[in-house]
Amino acid sequence: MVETSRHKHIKMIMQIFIYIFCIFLALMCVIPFIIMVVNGTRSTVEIQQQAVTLLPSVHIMDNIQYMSLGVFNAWIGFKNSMIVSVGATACAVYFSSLTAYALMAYDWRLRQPFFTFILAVMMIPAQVSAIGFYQFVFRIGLTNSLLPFIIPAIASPTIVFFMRQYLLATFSIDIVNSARIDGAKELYTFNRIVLPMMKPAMAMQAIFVFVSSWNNLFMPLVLLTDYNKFTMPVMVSQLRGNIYRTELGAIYLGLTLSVLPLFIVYFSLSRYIIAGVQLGGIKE
Amino acid sequence: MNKKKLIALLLASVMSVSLLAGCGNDSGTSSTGGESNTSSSSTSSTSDNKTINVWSFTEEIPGAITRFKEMNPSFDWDINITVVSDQDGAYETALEQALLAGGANAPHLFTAEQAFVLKYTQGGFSGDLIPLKDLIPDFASKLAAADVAQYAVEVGTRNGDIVGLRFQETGSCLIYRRSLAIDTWGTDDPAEISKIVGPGWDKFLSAAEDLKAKGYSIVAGDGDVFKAAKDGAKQGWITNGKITIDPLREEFFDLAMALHENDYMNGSVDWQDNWYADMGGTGIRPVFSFLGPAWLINYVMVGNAGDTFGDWAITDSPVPFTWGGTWVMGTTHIDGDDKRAAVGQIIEWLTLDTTEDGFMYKFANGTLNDGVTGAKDTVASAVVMAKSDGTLEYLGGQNMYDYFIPAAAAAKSDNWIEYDRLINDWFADQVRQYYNGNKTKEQAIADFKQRITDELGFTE
Amino acid sequence: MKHKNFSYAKYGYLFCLPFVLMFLTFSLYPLIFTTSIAFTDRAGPNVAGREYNILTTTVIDEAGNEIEETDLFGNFRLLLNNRGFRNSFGNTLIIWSINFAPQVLLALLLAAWFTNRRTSIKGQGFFKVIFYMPNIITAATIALLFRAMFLFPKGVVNDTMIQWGLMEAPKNFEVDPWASRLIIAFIQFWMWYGYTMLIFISGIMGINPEMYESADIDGANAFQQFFYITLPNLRTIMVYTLITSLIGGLNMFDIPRLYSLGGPDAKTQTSSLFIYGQAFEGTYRYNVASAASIMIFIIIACLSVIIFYLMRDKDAAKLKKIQKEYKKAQKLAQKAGDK
Repeated sequence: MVETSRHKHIKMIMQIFIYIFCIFLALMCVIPFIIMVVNGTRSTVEIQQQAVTLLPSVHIMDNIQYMSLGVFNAWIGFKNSMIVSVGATACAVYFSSLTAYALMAYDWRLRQPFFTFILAVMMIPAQVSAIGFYQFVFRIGLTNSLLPFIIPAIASPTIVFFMRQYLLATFSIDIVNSARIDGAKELYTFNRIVLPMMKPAMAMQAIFVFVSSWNNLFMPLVLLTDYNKFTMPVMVSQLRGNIYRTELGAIYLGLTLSVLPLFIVYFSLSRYIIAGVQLGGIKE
Repeated sequence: MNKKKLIALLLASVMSVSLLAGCGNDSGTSSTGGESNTSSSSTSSTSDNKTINVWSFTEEIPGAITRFKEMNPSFDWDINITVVSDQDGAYETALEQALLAGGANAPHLFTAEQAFVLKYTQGGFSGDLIPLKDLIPDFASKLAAADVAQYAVEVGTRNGDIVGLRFQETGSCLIYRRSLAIDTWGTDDPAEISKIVGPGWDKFLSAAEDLKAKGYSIVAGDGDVFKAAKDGAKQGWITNGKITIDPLREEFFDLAMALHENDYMNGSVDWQDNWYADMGGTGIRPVFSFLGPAWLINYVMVGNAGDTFGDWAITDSPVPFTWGGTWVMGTTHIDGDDKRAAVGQIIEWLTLDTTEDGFMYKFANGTLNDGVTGAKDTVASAVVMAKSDGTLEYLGGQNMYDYFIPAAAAAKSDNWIEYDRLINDWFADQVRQYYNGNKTKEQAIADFKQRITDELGFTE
Repeated sequence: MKHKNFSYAKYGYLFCLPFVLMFLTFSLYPLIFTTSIAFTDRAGPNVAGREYNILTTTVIDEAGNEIEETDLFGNFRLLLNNRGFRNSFGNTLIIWSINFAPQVLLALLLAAWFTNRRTSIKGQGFFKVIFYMPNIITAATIALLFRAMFLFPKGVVNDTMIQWGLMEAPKNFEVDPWASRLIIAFIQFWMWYGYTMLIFISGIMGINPEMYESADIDGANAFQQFFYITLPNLRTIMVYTLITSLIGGLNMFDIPRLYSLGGPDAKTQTSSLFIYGQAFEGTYRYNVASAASIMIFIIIACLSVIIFYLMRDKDAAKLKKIQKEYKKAQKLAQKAGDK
């Protein structure tokens, strides 16, 4: 009995330690957001004089008014960003899962070479080949189209790699085999039996793809020059105004606005991370 | 086996098709490029459409052109405006791709900032620019009549042809606190102060000593001084393909060290909180002066003035220099004589029109938008500045053009090169390493040269 | 129904087809373009597009009496002798090693806490969500905020340190190479530990819960469960984390560029920054940039092979097991068909 009470004691201290530690980390994660939101209520001069503060100011209406002067249109930005991010996420997650499944469930001659190839593609430094991509898009006339931001996501080597590693740890061919005996078609098996098993991994990757796709700035800046095709970050970049005067307050407000949808998506997908969806079907 | 072969064949064919598609488009683009070239060299023609494509990196010029259309209802051309923010060079990348792609969507008129203008007026893309005399009738006489600063014209000149001009003048002055001047020397008269702080850096440093005795810093940080110091040089960083360090630029090592060692500056870095605080007199010590053009006053200093509003004045910089500026250019992609005339009309209105209806007069007097009094800014034409009202409350009622007109005339650009933006940064970085005691001057210079060799390929 | 010699292999090819097609369409051309240019003399601002017809030309070297010789690897040789390139690679390794180990360890620790069914920390869902948040803000905003914190002569960090008596005079962090490296490493750590944690959590959640249940019955404590069940089963995900972190680390770009522009004294200039500078700034030495990319690619590939080798056994065993099961199942299916 003494033994267990001491254990409980240690456990308590451990718990307290964990909480303090987590709260500390959480604060560090949240403060930049607060600063960003607060700066959205401050004037350019206030931000110039002191960029980091937790005290809001009274200039939010001025910033909103400045936003409404130029081409900034949150609605168009949201719409285009949504199309791009949802499209890219769906393409990347579904087709990567499919490719990873092909790498795991079937025994084909080029399987190993293909996996090596995917890894190799993943390792190519992106900076330089970007210019080749721009040229290609310019030549096939897909500038001012949202397609170049969506379709190429079908070939996402990093996500294939993740899905494959995930399947490697969790997948068992028996389930597929039992489905086959039932006479299920292969794609049907994948969609109905394998995909649900991969939900936690898919939710994770969906969040990552969505966030990076949403925040992508440089490529849309170069390839989208028509106001009606601007994504949200490009819209925010238009808030800079005169060359020598940057409207910092409006930019922070724009940044805050552009992050809001990310929160919604993140929190709605995060239930898969929080709830701890256990994999069905693995139990033998 | 057969199926495998089939798939392999399929893959191979897809691959070759995509390659062919690439090549096919290659030839397609280059041939249209050729066509547009021939059409532009033909003697008389009309354009296919009534659209002028304007590219810029901020809303400023597109806004002005919209205003131009409002003022000239008979100007029946559609303006297709593209604004790409130049974050991480995105504007340059997009512009260059659009110039390369050519065709109906190619830029007809675009703008470039000082940091990258030479790449377009004299560097790799200068072939895409059309001489302004081909766009604007009587160009030479109009240019002479406007009295534009020579250095700015030189920057926009390609092999003797002027291809770019600007509307804004950025010749710079010393902007100083009147009250601190009176406290230190008993006068705030710009003519007197000009003799105390300059010309040259020796006088500047002795003035700094006087100010220090009163508890003031002469400047906020070394960045303020460097902008002027580098422009005093006779030679650019690269001359005849070799790395050159002009003695006047090398002197900056000692100048910065003197400022640092003797506590003549606050140590603030430009565009950071402390720099802005220094503009309002709320930094670690009151700062006597800043060095810069009119836009620094209008867009940066006035907003941050706080209690010091009205306590400022301008006088000659110890060394003449300029900072920033936007050039306007027309491209060879303009099809048809009528469109060339229309683009010429816009460029003329922006950069050469000295009348009260011209853009520059409105810009200089802050009257671009009817009824709204905007910031007054220096303009390319000295003629326009001379007949404009440059008095600012911020400067205690001083007419800023009294000093900005000579500043423009004194500035030089013959030591500018295409790679200045990078090399200046590397140089300032090494100077900071030196005066903060991280390395010797010799080592810093050696590292500086090595970096130019490593990153740009030039040698001594 | 007879299923003799029926092979599912075609589905392997079929399901990979979308990936392959998209790769060929959008990535192949940039890739070939980039790679081929490394062996050419292509440089200058407009070169990327204008003379694309002769991608395969090689550098012509003048050797002695105007004898023209092809010099395929000239750019690579230039890079090996380039102090800037070597320096940038060294910086990359330094900054990556500083942030990598703490990042993985903290992520693992948090993942272990949050998936431990016995301690079940209250509000863990909240923490999981919050810790990923630094990854949501753009790198530009983060760099801006950190710069604002480390300002000189007055700034949040300087003021606090002096107030607490940790420093006597304000420190100019911006000119101190090691301070800048540490700050960048910290930003990287702070931005990515939540991501790594989520990856680990998803991996742990994929582990068959029965394993823990039987461990509970056997009386294994939390530590034992972590080391004997969680870690070994996390190996495949660990391989993923190591490889992607290696790739991400050696391609580190945003933060060093936005926070310090590679400075001071080029001590935070990473390989990616060097490559970017070569390709898109200054003299636009696109060929050199391309050669440098290939070299970095080779280095990453070699290091990845090492990681795979070190972590191989489980992977291979698992694959073999699946293969075996697969064959068994085929036989079974055959039998079923025969009936």
